[in-house]
Amino acid sequence: MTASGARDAGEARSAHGSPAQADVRVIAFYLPQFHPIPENDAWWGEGFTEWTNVRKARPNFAGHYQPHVPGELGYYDLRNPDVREAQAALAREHGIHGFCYHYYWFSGKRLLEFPLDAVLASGRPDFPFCVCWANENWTRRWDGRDQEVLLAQRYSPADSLAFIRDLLPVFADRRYIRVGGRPLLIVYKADEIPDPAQTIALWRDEARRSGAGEIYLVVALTTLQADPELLGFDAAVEFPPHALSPISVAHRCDFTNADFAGSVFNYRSFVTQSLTKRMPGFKLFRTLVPGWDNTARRQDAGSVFVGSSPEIFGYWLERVVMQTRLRFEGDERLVFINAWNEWAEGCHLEPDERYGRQYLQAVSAALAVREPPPRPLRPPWGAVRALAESQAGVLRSVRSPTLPEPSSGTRVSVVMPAYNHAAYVPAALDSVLAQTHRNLEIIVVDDGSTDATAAVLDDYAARCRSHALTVVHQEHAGAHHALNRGLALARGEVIALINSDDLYAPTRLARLLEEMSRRRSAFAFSSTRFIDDDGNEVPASHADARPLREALLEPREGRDLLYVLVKTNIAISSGNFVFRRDLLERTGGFCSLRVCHDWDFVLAASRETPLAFLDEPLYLYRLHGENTYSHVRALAAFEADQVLSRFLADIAKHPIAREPAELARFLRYLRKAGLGGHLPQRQAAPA
Amino acid sequence: MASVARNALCPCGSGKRYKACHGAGAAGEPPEAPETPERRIAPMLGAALDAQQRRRFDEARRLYAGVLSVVPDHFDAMHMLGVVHYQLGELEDARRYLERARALRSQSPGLRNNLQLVSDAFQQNAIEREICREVLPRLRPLCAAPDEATTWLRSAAAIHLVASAATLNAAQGILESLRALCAPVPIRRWIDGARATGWDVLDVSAGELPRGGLLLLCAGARTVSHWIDSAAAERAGMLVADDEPALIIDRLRELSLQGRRCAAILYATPQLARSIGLPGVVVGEAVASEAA
Repeated sequence: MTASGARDAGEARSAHGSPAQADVRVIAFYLPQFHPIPENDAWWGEGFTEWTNVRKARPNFAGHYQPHVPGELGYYDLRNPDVREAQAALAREHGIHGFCYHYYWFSGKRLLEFPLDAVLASGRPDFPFCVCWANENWTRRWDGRDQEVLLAQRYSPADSLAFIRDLLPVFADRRYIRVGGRPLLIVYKADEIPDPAQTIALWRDEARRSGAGEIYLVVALTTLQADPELLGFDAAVEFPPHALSPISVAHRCDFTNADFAGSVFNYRSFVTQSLTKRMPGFKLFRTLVPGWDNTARRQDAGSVFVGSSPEIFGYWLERVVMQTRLRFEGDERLVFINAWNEWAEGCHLEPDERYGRQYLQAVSAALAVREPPPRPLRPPWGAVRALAESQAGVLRSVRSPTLPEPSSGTRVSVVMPAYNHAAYVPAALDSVLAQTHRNLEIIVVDDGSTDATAAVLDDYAARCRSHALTVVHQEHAGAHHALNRGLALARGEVIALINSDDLYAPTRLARLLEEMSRRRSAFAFSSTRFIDDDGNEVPASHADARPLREALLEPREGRDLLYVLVKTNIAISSGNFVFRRDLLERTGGFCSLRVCHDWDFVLAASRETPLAFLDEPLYLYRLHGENTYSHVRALAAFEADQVLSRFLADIAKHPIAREPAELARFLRYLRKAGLGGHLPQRQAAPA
Repeated sequence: MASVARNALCPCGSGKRYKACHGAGAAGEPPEAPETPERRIAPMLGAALDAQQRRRFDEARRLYAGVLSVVPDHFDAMHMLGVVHYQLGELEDARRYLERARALRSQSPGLRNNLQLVSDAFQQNAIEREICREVLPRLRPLCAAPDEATTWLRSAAAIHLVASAATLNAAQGILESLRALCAPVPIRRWIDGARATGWDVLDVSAGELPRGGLLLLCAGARTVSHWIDSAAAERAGMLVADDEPALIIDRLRELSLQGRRCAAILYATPQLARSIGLPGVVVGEAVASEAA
């Protein structure tokens, strides 16, 4: 103990460090059922531990990974202090911040208490920890749903008081994990508590009264339906596989166990759902699972997830760590893993024979990616305008042969970035030339297409007699860059964008110009019609069309557009933007996000001008082949965090903040919409 | 239909003899009592639903199709056939039958719900695919370098192709190119499933395993982890003929477990080599450079 004193002090500092030092803290749930206890001897047989179940698991189908055989730590016994030290050393070595011990407390009776009590009494291992109250009834089955209750919870007020009093000395341990100085306590199933709000108030009062101060209460999202913050929790934590709806792959299995009546799911659908999940209206910490398979507990009726691998788990964690950095500050940068050692549920970071340390190494690799998540800025207008003069990256330019006499009315520059849309570009340009508003110049920026787009465009320009049409061919630099070059070249008073595979309705520009002038707005867009390859309208049930249709219902109900726009980019695409050119002096050009540069731009515009949304389907958006939104959905979800964290960081300077009451209303709405994590702490605090 | 024996079971899956079902009236005596289509399909529908609930999806699919061959516009059969395809993971077919069912009866809330499920599954699959594509580069350490893979091909004492019959038939051209790359040893084809005639048929489930040499998995929709360890191949690799990142991750993982640290990847086309992006040998290209 004395020899390692200096090291201990250093670690204590980093464990409870100031928010500025602490980055994302990964906490792994920890099961203590790896030692015999009298109750388990009586209920399940002499010498029962978790390993009893783990050892007897057998495969149910071809390729089913069972049994899981422990690796370097072996079939350990947690009564052995060396085992607990080895676990902590392994976790620390791979960047895991601490363990969250499951805490079994039934009206004063504790179970499986030995490991935690030994950790508390010995001061070893010197590794941060917190507890999760596993407040299920102890039952004959292992997931708390069965009838035969072996040990029940009672939840009397006296119980609640006794519960928190038992924990106060645990909270006082210097290794105990805190958030903003407050000890972190997780409750597994809050909806099993008859009056959770009252229980929580009682806990908090008792903690304050005893001098322990404030506690940081988190509820696991298992079966809870209510809003955790209304119940008095500070936050919630995911607890997969609860609350996810994975896709079955049982049809692809060759079953070898004729009695199997359980389920086989795709692990990767976890990852997919997690990475595209819309955040709920409260503070939510993310939790990952390295795998899941409870065959060891329920051989014929288990749930099995197939398709996990250290690479996919590592990718998932890397994305979640970056997301957590964007959404949270300081001590609230927490990520959980279920679990450190749930061997009978097939979810363990601890090494097994099959993968060794690979899942642990995936954790350290994900944490080692330390670059801050990109939040690319919009280039200032001066820099964008300079692109008009610069020939860097420009391959050649082509103009239509004759310049027609300028007609009357507002001069509109139609800007089209084009990339590999040879089949669609002529129709898109036809729809521009067919506009009832005649005073147009058209600028097409071919972004280094590798199909016939370049030749198709040159040919189109050579034959165009009715309008001034310029085609600039540049080396491929991305949609945002092609857009910016087009903006730089535009000379009209108003700029209208269009995608090279979409179509304008004939009255689009005329109607939007009217609308901008009527509403004194510098930025307008219309509603959209989704079309397929042949220009036919796609069914309303299309996966890409549906969410947007739903989102569009909100502005129709007369809500401020910003309320909708912070959740969904209802303009859908930059192609739907029409704006005054001088707006660019205040917004700058498009930022370099791959998917969400348009959303970033429209949010920026909302700061500078009232937005004019015209609910007429004047923009025809084509869904075809690879051009679906779906295939970039995971990237879009990630970029969305980048856009929102910047936009909401200075929401106080937005016009919506002019009236304090209106700002308060908007902030309440944002928090309700699950965007509160992006708000600066000051604004995120409950009103 | 003409080739079905009158006393054989009807191909519609009704469980009746052909002569008493779809073969009725085709030849020989007419059936005893004129059956209405409704009477004929009632037991088939019941059996179909039963099979579906017992997760015998292939059987359920046959039975529902049988109902539709009697009553082509049967809403429930059309609807449930779509659901069975969904349960089989065949989303295109699922959508097709559910849309047809909607044309028959657009107001069914259950149908709307199922269409939604299919639509969501499409979206999830697309995202999953994209995620797997981003994960692929992380498997680089599991793949043999191209020259190493070429050496393995040249020096293998035997080459065993493991594939489904359908894959093997579809990949004929590639196999011919492969021969040019390999050592002058016979390429033996081991097929998972006994429906292909003219090939060596390997019953993996009965424990028959290719031994020694280079084991090449073709396509690889099925797991091999339950037998790969006992196959005792000197080397293992996979022939990539489809742009399916998830399958490649699964199979590479299995090939690289327990000591087989590297796997050779053979790409059917240069396009696949580009879109998958892991080190490997393009079969066609290597043949061309050989000729030059």
